Amino acid sequence: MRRLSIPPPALWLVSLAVLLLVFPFVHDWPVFGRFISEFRTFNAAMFAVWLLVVLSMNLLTGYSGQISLGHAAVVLVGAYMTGILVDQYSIPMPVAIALAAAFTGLVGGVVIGLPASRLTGPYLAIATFALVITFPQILKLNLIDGWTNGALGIRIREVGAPGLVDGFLDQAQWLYYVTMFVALIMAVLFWNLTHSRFGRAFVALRDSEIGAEQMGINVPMYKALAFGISSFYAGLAGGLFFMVQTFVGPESLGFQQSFLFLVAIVIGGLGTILGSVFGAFFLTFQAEVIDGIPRWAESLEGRVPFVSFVPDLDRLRGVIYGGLLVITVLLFPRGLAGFVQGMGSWRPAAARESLAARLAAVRAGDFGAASMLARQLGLGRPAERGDERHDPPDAGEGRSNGADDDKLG
Amino acid sequence: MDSIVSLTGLWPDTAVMLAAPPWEDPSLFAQLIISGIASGSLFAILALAIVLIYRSTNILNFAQGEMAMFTTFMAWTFMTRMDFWPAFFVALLVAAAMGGALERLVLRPVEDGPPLNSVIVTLGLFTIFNGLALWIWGPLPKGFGPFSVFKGSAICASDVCIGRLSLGTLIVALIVMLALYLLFQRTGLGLAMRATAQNRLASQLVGIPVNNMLTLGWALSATVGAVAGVLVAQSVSLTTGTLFVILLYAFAAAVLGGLDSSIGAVVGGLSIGVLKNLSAVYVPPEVGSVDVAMAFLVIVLVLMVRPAGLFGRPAARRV
Repeated sequence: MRRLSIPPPALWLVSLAVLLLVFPFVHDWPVFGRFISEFRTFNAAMFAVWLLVVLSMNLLTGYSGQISLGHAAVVLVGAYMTGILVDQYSIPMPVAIALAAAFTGLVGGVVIGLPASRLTGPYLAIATFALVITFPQILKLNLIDGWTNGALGIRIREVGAPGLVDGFLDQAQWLYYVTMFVALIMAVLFWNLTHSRFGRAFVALRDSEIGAEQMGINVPMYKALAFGISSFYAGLAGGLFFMVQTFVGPESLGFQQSFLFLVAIVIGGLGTILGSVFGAFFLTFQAEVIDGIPRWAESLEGRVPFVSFVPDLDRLRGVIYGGLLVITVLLFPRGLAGFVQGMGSWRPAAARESLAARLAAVRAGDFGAASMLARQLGLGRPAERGDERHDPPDAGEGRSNGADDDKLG
Repeated sequence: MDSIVSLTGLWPDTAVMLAAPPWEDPSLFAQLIISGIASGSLFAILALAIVLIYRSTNILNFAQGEMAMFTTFMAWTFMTRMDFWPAFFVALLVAAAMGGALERLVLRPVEDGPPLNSVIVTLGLFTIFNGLALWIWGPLPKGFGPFSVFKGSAICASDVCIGRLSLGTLIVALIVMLALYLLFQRTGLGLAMRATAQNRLASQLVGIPVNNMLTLGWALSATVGAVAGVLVAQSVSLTTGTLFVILLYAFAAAVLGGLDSSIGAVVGGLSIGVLKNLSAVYVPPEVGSVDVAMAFLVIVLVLMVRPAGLFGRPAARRV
């Protein structure tokens, strides 16, 4: 077992930690209070939940290349499981969330992951698309009505802070600390996971399944593992979602949310933790920003030409999301994170060389490509760690998509 | 009267219709199958459109339903100004132009990339078309009733009836399938398109204008989708959400028949229509409604047991 490593750079992390620690009190402070309302504490708690969701989605789709359009359904499983355990079996919330996360991980790995490990790209997309559309109907089945409460869903009373800190923290602050604490721990674990041999195997799987197989990676097992771990994160997020919202119903999360999760990882940056953070910001604030657009347009009327010719701007929501998605994939395939990380070294998207192309080069007898391939899969020299790799200057084309290491800032 | 049973329990006052099993009420069973085939022909046409694109470009078009919805709204606009048939064909032309333009502008760059990129782009198109339609035509449903061409009373044989609209839909579906079959099997153009789908590089080497074939494939598929949209709008009023669930059934149909087989798409569509009807009636009410879940179940089962579908060719793995 390798010991857990703390991602660099430490100073930034310490200041970030201090900021996160004092954040729910900032709205009480004299000057800062003018900029940050109390509601932002609740926003931040939801941000933590969305961060877990985006990490989960990113592990599956961004790192492992398994397209999931049904992630909302998986999060819903975690939320429902927590709700059922708390509401009907009176299990304390933290235990219920942990159990629900474990259950969701198991279900995701075995029930979804094992069958899904036989499917490739588009087929998996169809199956998960069908899952998320069907899931509300499944939850409403009279057969399991006793647990899920049908169309009504599960509602509980607010979960307050335990006795000792009760007077000190209000409801929103307590939820903030719990969710943020869990999300941060899981993010650090995520960093370690993606920089382990598991993470490298997932990336190899994404870049070329056949290539990964030839490198000795047990493809079905790793696929199921990616589904399992991803579902665990999603289930955890679902439990926290339920705790923050105190309600879950069949339509709480559906295809639209699943789609937004996809938008989040794509515009944030596929396969990076930094991108997941951007994605979580997107999920937290997208509704507010979009809803604010008509008011904003109104205030521009008369000063900027043409604005008055665009009525019903709020109905263009779908066009904005879809446009963002298409433009990002076509022009900035590495997303916002890639944009931030690569500001110094821009190169066109088309120059990205896939692992498959290298594999073909290996077949053709190009041994330079062979060694790069081996290195990318972490099989080459054992001394090399994922975070310390540097391509030799003569490698030419630069790093491929497969070596997208995230440096958390 | 023994088919009506009062279920005691959660809602003691509700009487729930329990359908008699097929051997006791064969005419109900036959009726379900006939109307299932009729609604299934809608799924079949949309599935055909999906298969057309998947075969030629290996792209799964999640925007297929929304593109059809969009062109149907356009058809509706045309029909408020001219007769049904001219408006219908103008809409088809616009749809073809739109499909071709989309392939050229948006999908060309992702055609050779990983499947994730093309799925993301078509999903983006999905919401773009949905949002645009909402913005242009608003949330109120648009009725095609005044423009309907399949009017008149249902045609009955003893107890079993079929509506004119259903019959018309079925006939149109068969015509579309036949036309596509003739195009692909009997014309040089179809041969070129098939060659492009099979091996792009080799087709290019023998002088087929591959890029034009791909554009044509999308144009054709958008046209077929538009036919499906107009037919759907004849039976239910048209909103921006109308084709969403139909897309799911069409996917189920395409998977069942095999994503690369047009005969499969039709057989799959008809079977899904029948299955949907049967599951709506014969699944006991204690279970709940399962018509959407049935489509999901079909997809999962087919992918587990025979991923290539009933008529598809098993995919070869390529590096």
